[in-house]
Amino acid sequence: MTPDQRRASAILAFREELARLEAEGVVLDAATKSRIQAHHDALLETLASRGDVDLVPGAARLSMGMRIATLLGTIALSAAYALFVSSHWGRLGLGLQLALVIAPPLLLIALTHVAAQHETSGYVASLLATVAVIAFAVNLGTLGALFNLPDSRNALLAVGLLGLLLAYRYGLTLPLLPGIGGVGGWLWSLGAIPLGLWWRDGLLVIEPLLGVGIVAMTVPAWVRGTAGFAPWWRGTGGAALILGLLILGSNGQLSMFAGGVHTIEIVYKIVGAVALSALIAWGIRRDQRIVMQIGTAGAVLYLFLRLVDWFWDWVPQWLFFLIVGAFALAVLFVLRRLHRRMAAR
Amino acid sequence: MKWALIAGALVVTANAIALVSVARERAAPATLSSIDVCSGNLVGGGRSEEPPALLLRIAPDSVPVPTGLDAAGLRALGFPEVVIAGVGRPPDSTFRRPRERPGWVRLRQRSDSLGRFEVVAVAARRELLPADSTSLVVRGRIGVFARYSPPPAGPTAAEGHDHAAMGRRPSKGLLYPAVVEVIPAALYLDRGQSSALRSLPSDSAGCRSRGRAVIASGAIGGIWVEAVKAP
Repeated sequence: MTPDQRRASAILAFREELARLEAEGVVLDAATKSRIQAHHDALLETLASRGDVDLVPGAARLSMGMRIATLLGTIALSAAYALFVSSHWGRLGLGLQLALVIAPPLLLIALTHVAAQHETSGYVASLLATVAVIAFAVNLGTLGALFNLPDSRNALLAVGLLGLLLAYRYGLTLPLLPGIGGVGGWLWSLGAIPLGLWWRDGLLVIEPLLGVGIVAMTVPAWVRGTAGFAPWWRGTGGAALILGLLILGSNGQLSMFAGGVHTIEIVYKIVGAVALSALIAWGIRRDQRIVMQIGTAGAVLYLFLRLVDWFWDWVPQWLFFLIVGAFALAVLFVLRRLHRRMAAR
Repeated sequence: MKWALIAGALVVTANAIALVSVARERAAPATLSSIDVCSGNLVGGGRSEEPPALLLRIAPDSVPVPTGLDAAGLRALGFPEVVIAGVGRPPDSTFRRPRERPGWVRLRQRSDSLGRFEVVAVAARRELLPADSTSLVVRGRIGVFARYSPPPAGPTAAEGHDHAAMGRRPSKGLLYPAVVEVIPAALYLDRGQSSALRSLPSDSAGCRSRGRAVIASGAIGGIWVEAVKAP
């Protein structure tokens, strides 16, 4: 939710509560009420003129529909472009082949700029920018195939940078995701350099992914930009961190450290338990809902994996699932107590 | 507008870096190698979603161990001493499979009915494998594995399918170094080259209906198909 939308929703909620208070006999004096109403009306008008703000529940549902349509449109347009390139490829000479892969990202960047200027909701710009990023990825991949170039991590960096550039310049969330993925993937693959590995094999070393996750989670603290981007950075960073810890806890072969695989797995199981608790506590303390949700989902998955480790081989399957159910109830109980304690504060 | 121009410049620069390096390599003298090709080597193109390319089919276990995969060679590739010491022996319980290492490999085409390539040499640096007209030098990933079927005792250039090797199955696996991937695995073919290759009679039994392809190797590691000729 954008800050503008948050403010608009708060005003609408305030009006609803005020109407309820009036029905219950608690009323503001007429002068104060009209001053507040006039201020809110002006504010809503400003917010509505600045961008796509939903002022009624129906509009909010429509916005969700538009977001889904944007995503589907992005997927469909990207698939159309990729299939068009592949189906016409064999009939074209080198010059046309190059034009077919280099021109589309450039054209789409220009169209993104035009759409961002003329359509304030940002849906069309978001769609065009994301297709531009995907077209650029297709561009670099095809160039590599055309000239038998070895695949390179730098393609990830270039694609990620384009995604971030378009996302930050035009305040678009959808191209932010390939942006984070591209730059994050590039940083992750750098772990291959000190180990002397091919860059792709670096993606099978998990510790750099943990580092990338931590860096991504801290980005909102040191990069100023659209406020709506912060949950995406924290969410993808948290997911990367948790995924890495869960993988290392289950498969020590993927660690960069030498030593016994079993020892590595035990260490990462302990680190995982501590990190997940810290993540949930951090999310609650800083009121970062996405961090708390991802931390909780990770903790549930972590517990499930540990239960598989401990019980799967030596209890009947029905008993295993009974134990999982009992654990789920225990987690619910703990979270409910936590919820009550927070509500009491 | 400034940021849209910066984004455009990023796209142009990335393409320019790739295209300039390709142009420089192709302008310099290259080593030419001639290989046999058949329609079975063609992948992609036509209605496929992949661009047309000449597949470099690698024969498994082509020679006992390619040169350059001895202890010194494995050390140069960056394998740990514990792995090098274990080569040729069964892995013990503490064995942890090492990650594949990047290197350069020399491929030479077999003269058998399948026309596959065998890895004849491996090196950590390209300068150690100078290009010649009878082989191709490409990047590769080298690994060390426990295998139940040991490599043949000597070159088996005359045989097509190694049925004998399928029957040999020692009770315990031994550690061997091997090339797990060559990069690129296939070489791009332009319109004329893919048509020439497609025009060769298809041959489900192997690679008997053959044409010739001229492969060029550049000075800094580039490789491309210069020409494909039907017989």
